[in-house]
Amino acid sequence: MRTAAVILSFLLCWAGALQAEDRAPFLRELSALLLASDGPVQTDKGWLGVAIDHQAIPDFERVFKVYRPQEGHQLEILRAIDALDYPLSVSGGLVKRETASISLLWKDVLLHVELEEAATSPAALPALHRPPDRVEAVRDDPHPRTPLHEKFLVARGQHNLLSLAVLEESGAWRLRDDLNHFSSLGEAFSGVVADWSYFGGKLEVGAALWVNDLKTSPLIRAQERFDDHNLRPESRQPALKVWLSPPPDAWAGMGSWLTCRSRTFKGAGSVIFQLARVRVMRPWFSIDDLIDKRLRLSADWLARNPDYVLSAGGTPTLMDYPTGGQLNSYVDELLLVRNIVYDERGRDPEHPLSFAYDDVNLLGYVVRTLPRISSKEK
Amino acid sequence: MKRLAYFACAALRTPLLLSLLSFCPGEFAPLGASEREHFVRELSRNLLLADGPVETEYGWRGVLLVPPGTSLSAFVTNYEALGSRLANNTQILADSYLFDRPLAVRNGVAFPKARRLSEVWEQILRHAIPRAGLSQDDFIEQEPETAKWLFRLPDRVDRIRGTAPVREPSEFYLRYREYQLLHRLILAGESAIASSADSWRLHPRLAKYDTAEQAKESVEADWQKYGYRQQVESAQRDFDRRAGAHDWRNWMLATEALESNLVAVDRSLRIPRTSLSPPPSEWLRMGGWQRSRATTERDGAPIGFEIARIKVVREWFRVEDLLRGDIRIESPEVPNGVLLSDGKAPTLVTYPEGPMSVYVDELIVARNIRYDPAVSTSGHPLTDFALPLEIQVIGYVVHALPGR
Repeated sequence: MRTAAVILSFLLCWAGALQAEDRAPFLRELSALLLASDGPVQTDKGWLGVAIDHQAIPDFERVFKVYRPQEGHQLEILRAIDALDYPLSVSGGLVKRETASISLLWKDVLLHVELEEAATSPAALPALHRPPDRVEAVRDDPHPRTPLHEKFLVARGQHNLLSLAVLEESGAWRLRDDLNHFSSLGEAFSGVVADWSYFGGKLEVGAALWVNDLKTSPLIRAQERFDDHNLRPESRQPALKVWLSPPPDAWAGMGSWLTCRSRTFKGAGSVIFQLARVRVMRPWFSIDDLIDKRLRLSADWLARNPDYVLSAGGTPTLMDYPTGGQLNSYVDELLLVRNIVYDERGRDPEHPLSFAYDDVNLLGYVVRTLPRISSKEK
Repeated sequence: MKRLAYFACAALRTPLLLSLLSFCPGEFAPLGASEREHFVRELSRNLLLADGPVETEYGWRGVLLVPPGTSLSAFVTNYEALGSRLANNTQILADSYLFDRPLAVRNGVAFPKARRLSEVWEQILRHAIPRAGLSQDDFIEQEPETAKWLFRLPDRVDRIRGTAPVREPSEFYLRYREYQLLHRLILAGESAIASSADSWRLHPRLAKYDTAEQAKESVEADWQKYGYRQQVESAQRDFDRRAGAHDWRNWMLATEALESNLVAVDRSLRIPRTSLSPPPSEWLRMGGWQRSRATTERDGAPIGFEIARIKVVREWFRVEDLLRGDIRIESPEVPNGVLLSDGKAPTLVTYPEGPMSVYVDELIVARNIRYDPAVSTSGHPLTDFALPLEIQVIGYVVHALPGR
């Protein structure tokens, strides 16, 4: 560990000395291999590009460590997540972390998204609720179910019970008074489904429930996902879970390592190494709903913040990515390297791989750059 | 000797492999677009018997490559541990990147898009909510003469009390149901295994019959005479045909298929169950592996490998209903008016664009990739793997949708 730290500090100094033009050929080689392109490739919502990160190694060690269950504990998990929870800026092919975390920025976005109108059907609502009668109105019970809705729930209960009986091969359904006139499970099933259709409002109430299900609201979904994955709900600074696939304990044995070659000494030599990609997943980060305008920032709030720029948009180049927004780019995949072997010319100090030591190294990232998201849409 | 050493090292995963390879002759060559295209053509010939995408009833089927370095290992391990069941939540999320996202095709490589296929499908079902009103009570009010065979209509007592029965079965329907159950009991006996084939005899109303055939004939005749079979079934057809009911029913079947397959990953995230056939636990010993051979475009050098196709099964995804017109979308409010796909005919390396224009139908997996070490510099997609003997995902058989 100490050796690694010494090498690390040495290499960090070295990394600073590397020039952008030394990195460009290597980045082009990586882009060709991983993205089938000479530089960043446009996707349906933004761009994917490759960038190198020499400064991530200390954080990377933590990420690796916390996935070993015997060593991981809550504090380490939070610190490890921090390593992947910051937007990036890319300049000269190298990444630099921004100051505000993705989770904090996203929390802020969710605070300013307006609740959309429910997607209701004119025919659907009356099937669910009737107007309260005088007594119910006094009791302040504003949403009494229609009789058909009540019958629907009973029929659905019977159906669920029979479904469970099929799974568990249980005969307990015969104990129910409303089902014991059926002589077999199959008969009970078809009888219950038919009754549900004609007398239990299966179609009308079922459709109305689906159409009016609040859970389908993109904002409510996004908020729930955020809350569910927040490990620090009591704090102003949230800490959101990040998933890695494959997880670090599988990295050594996974079959997806690629054998790659890169030129060294300006093409006179070569280095062979193994490269793997690890996907970073943030199930709480519904940024695509914002891009597609299923989540909309409130018009009032945007009017009060005319200079708000979440993402500046613009086309990234091989070495430099757009700037000007709070969340222009972020890590989509980790790029790991190992087993670096130089040819007879040896280690090329100007090659970006020269920093690496004999273990799994974090080389950089596949970086996602977002399209423009701002108060003034272009 | 060098070749033998190469395979031995690949299997042992030692750095020696790299040492050996570093002495291989040949210049560095990044993955070539022409090699990629050549390989996709070979795979298409092998798997689809065509030089490129093949037109089908609803769109096209084609072959695409996965981005190099796409990993199978995590979920193969998990599936092996628990048979064909998913092991954990990470797994479900990881799988969704491998085969449950629509694809964007760039230079012959299929990149997963950001949104899940199920999210796009759910959005489409929202666009497809039938506009026509659905109140089946109208049927009872407007056609009481037909409705009476199914539903109990208000009698004099109800009228005096000012109440109305809510979708109660009529006495005709109850009689119909009696005979229907008897009939089903006899039919179930006919199709049952020998030990329970005579269980219908235990029913007191059927005990008098000597054979199942006799019982069936008699019950069918009684059902017509005393069970109002014709009237009730005719009323059911009328009821189902009422305004919009047909559209609503198709739409509900599609939404039910989605809902009933959802698996809760956590409180807020539910993903529909997609399965692989054969499941990963079977891959090592399944009989579907075929010996295959690819060649490099540059010099025709052979690359031997074994290939298998893994079907992606999505019971929740009834896109054919939409393409057939059973589910209809009257005026989609979607960007550019493209709901699924712009419908441009695909070529070997370009595919239509759209929220759900291309998706995975089958995984193409390979193992035991063998070639002369000199070929490793060709840029052929099969020569990238550090562990070429292991099972790797190399591509997809995809379904490209027509314009919609």
